[in-house]
Amino acid sequence: MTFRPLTRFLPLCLLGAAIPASAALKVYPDSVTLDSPSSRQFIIVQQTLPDGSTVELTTQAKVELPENGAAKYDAATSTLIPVSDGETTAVIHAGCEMVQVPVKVKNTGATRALSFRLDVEPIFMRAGCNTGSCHGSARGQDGFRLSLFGYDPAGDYFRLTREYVGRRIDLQFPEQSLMLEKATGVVTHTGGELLKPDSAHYKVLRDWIVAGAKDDPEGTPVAKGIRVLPEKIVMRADAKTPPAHHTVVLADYSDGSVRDITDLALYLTNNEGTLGIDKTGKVTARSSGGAWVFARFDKFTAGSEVIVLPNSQEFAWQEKVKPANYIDEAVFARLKQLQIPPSAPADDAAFLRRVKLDLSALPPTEEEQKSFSEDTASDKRAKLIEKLVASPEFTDLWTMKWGEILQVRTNNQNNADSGRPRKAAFRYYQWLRSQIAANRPFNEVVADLLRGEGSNLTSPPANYYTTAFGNPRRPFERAEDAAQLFLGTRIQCAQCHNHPFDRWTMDDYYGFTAFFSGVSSKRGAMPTEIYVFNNNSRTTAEHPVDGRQVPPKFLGGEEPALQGKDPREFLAAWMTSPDNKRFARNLANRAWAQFFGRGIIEPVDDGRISNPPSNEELLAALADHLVKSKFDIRALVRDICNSSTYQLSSTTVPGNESDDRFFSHSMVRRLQAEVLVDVIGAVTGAPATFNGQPQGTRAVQIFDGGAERDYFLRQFGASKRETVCACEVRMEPTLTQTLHLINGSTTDQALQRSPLLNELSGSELSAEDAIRKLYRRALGREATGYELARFCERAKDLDLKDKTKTRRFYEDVLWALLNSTEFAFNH
Amino acid sequence: MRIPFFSVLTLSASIACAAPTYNDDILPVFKNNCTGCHNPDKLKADLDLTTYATTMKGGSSGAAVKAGAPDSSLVYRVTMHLEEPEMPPKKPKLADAQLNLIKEWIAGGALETKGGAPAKSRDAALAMSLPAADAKLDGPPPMPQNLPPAANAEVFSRPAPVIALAASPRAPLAAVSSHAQVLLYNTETKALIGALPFPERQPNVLHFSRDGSVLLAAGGRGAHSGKAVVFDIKTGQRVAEAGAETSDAILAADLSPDRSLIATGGGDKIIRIYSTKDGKLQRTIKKHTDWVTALAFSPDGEKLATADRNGGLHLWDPRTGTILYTLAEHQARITSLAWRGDSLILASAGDDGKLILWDTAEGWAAKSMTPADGSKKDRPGRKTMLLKVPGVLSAEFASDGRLAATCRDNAVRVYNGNSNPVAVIKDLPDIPTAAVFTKPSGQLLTGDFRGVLQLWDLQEKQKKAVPAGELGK
Repeated sequence: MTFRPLTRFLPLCLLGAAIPASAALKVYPDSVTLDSPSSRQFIIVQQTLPDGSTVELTTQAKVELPENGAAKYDAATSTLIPVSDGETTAVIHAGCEMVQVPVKVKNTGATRALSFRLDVEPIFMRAGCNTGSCHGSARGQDGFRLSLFGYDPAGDYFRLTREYVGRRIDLQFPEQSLMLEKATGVVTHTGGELLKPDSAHYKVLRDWIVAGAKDDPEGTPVAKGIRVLPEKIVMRADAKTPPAHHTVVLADYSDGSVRDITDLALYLTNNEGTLGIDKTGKVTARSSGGAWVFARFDKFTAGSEVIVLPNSQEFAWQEKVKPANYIDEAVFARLKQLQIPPSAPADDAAFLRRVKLDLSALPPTEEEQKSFSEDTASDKRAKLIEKLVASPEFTDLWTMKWGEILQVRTNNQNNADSGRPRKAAFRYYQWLRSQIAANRPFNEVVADLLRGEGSNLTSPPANYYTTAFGNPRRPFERAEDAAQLFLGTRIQCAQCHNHPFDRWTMDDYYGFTAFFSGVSSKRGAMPTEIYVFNNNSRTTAEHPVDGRQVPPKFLGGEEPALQGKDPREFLAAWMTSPDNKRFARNLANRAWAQFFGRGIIEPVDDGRISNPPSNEELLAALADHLVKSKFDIRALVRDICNSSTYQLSSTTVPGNESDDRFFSHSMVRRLQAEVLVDVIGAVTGAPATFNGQPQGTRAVQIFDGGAERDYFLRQFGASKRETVCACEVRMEPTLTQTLHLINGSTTDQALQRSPLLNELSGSELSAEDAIRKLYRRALGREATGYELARFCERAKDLDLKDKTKTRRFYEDVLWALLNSTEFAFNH
Repeated sequence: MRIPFFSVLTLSASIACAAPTYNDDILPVFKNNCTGCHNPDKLKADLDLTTYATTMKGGSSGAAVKAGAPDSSLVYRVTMHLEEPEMPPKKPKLADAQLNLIKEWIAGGALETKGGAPAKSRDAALAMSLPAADAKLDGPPPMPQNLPPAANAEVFSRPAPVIALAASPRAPLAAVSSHAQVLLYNTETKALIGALPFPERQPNVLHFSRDGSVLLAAGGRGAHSGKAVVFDIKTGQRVAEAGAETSDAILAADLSPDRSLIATGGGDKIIRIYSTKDGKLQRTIKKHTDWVTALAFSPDGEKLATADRNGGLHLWDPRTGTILYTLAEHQARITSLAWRGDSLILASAGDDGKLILWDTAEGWAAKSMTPADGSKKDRPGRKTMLLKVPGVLSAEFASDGRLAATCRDNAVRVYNGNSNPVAVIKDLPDIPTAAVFTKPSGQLLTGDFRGVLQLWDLQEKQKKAVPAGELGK
């Protein structure tokens, strides 16, 4: 069924009577206050169709206001304009439906003085004057500096008016002010023409100068937040006429006033492929999918979700895959909403290999493959998951994952200031491993780290604060690390200016920094020993803009009453509390990413308003279950692996090919460096050895990470553990990797030493059986007929009695398999 | 605690009568606080404070002590936390009594022992060697005759900052920048005499010649064009022009005393020297790393001082273009340069809060002052606004060697020939942008951000200035 616009949403109203207040017709905003003569309110009329999609009817709708009322409507700009003080109602008709919008008009007699902060500064942001590449740069641009995105309005006012008196503002001939002549491009301006002389923004700047370029009086309201309306837009893709939909942005101020800032906000989207948004806030659909549009204003970013449904596709959800648990409910609900079909369930072989690699970082053995395929129990997958989650290999893998971001690392000659003495790093690793082995509630583990104190050798959690032994992290760096590690939030931007894409201000940043102001260390008895302690008298951080001493304040929370105690105690309690949703969400998201190759928020440690989760309900449900299980990571992993979502095939079906974030099919993921080298060892039976590690240590067991010392691990992107960033693990393919697998020492030595190949060449197995066996070993599945035929063709002339030649042949077969894409990936 | 009577006596006597000395007063302070690091073995920053000789020698950051000038002595600045690195490191500031002792010791000449001779006092250079140059001039002081009236009368309802202000060295005449014109006032009658049209847009610089017969006005249109014009005061005629090469307003300019040269500077960082005869460019100097914000010929014409927005200050031989000295001290924009009548002392005012008197024969800072109070560490916006110390916006010498400076703390300060403050005007409603001395009354004329041109009678004995009317009112 294809809809054509206008015929479907504007049926003729035969009776001529409007149906009041239909739920299907909405107007944004649903009430309007115009509180100054210059106030304007842009309105949007939206209709929801039976298929759930929304259509904008702003230009088609009829907006009526009483004659000589308090306000009038300008149809050309879809704007309500104040006329006189009072109240009135705008009646909006579309088709047979009608909505009433109450309109209050105030202060039409008064003239509101233009304000630097409320009127002028937003234009600098909108026009791009104060971006980092222009005057917002730390050193300004061409001699004139504005604070980045306006974090320091007092400083901006000073620089504009009094830093260089007479240079930028001409109070006698405002139009001839250098600021205006530059902005309009009348004189040389590196940034070119940013404002038209007839634009509303130009007039605001000029009129502010005409009025004397005055600073704001005390008590000038400040913005408290912004809203993007409608909260949700659902469009149906159409290749010929891409559907469009406007947004309206409102700012709420500290004095209770609300202002239409649609023409002052900046717009962006997190998925350019799916949609675009222009300077007026108009959203245009490009292809089907889910995305967000964001508006930025002052120090706020707010978003609105936009779903673009596939073009006129007959979509009916088919219960091909049954939901196994809450995860599937959330994932499938999202897929239904987006009209993306899920793939079929993965077969046993694919599942077995996937879950083995994911939970124990080892490939399935032949025996495991055999017994699993022969097992007919309906709960055999769940049982296997149970077994693997309880295995020591699981502990090894998770210790490595946390070791990466907790930077369990040994210092070395190349980098003496980074990392720890070997003994301390080993103690840290042992401690971490024991916590994971005992399945201790993970919030308690994190609390121990945040409170860490004492000797780095005898009190392992103290090592959380000894990341850089020779060059201790500064308090603000510790704050950044903690936020990124445990809250999945990067607050770095707010060190120097308010975060442009998130809610964090410099006040938040230095409030959070203050928790770490007292963290100190002193040398111990041995050169490798240091004691971490907290100086409880140092509990504030200096704010660089005004030199204020900022007391500790939870990120997005309260200021604790310290009463002379170690602020980190309060931080640990707040951070790991079940009420701290962001902590649980971050842990859940990191766990999820382990199994899907990407987080629900991706990158997992870069959650922000402008990077929302691809499935909010899913993330909330995972976090909820994690909290309910008392931060039992293994329980969470069991839930994930038992979900139908995890067990979907990686083979796509029509309609989900382009999905890379809603989990409609299993993601094909390259094996992480450590896992890959271990898998090569397991498949060939000739595990690699690692410098400085005991014989038999697998790569995932190297306590301080092997990237520094091992060529293979380094080339395949193992984490160097130099920062807390999840991005330290690099998964990008490189030419060196390919060449190394083809003819590098790792593959070569494994094949040369392989006891498997010795056994095969010495056995009575036919070539075909041997090839089958190699397929099972390397790829965890049976060779296909085609694959067998190709290899057997080569084996035709092979004399099985010639052990040397036979071995060489099998070596070639295994070499080919190790170099296949399938081998290096989990799918 | 009981203190023996005689020791109280000696203590009070030493405070009352003699400046502190290194051996008696300062070494104990250093020993308790400094010599743990600044000793001959550790020699932190190459500075050894354990002996008088090495203390006076200084360390890797240069001289630690400048006798007579505590405010420019590093040892005082870092212990007072006026400058980084704050000393002693990671410890609380020294007690006020100890800091005072250091200050007095340096101010008193940084004596080694009680009988010792003071270290060479740089204040000596402050003594003025030449009689006031304008005493030699003959004839009646030039005043304008038949100037056109001020244009754009409607703009006077909109107050605009005083961007440039100059007073005739001989006549009761003040020149004030206005939009596209220079207004001339009689400072005795306080009346507006007329205007010199400046269609080039905004005059940023105004300078009278030494005899008061011509006025240099320079400025232009930002990011567009610049011009320097010499006006004949009597006729109001343009007698010379320069600056066709510039593509931005001129920010700094001066006329050489023999009126043969005009030097200009601006946003392109280039110093241009023009001949007044034909307006032709004679020389360009490319040395400054930021906008050239001030420049001035010495009254004897032997030197040209140029300064920039980055604190750079250079002295040149204007005839050859060779550099004489680079005077490095300012940390932020130099806002103003002024020569004393004897051509020996140059005053530079900076947005770093410093007002420095340079001995231009020797090329060092004879005196570094911080007119506005900079000790308030918690001043809001100090980093973003470069206002750790409120900046000094202008400096101007009187013919008798007095110096007037306007400061961002809304104050105007006047110093006598020994650079002691003799009058302070405080709590102005907005920043004073310029202050000049008028003739023949000797009154101070200030201009501010509101556009108010206020005359003041200086009552130096009472250390105050009394309002004496506004120009144009």
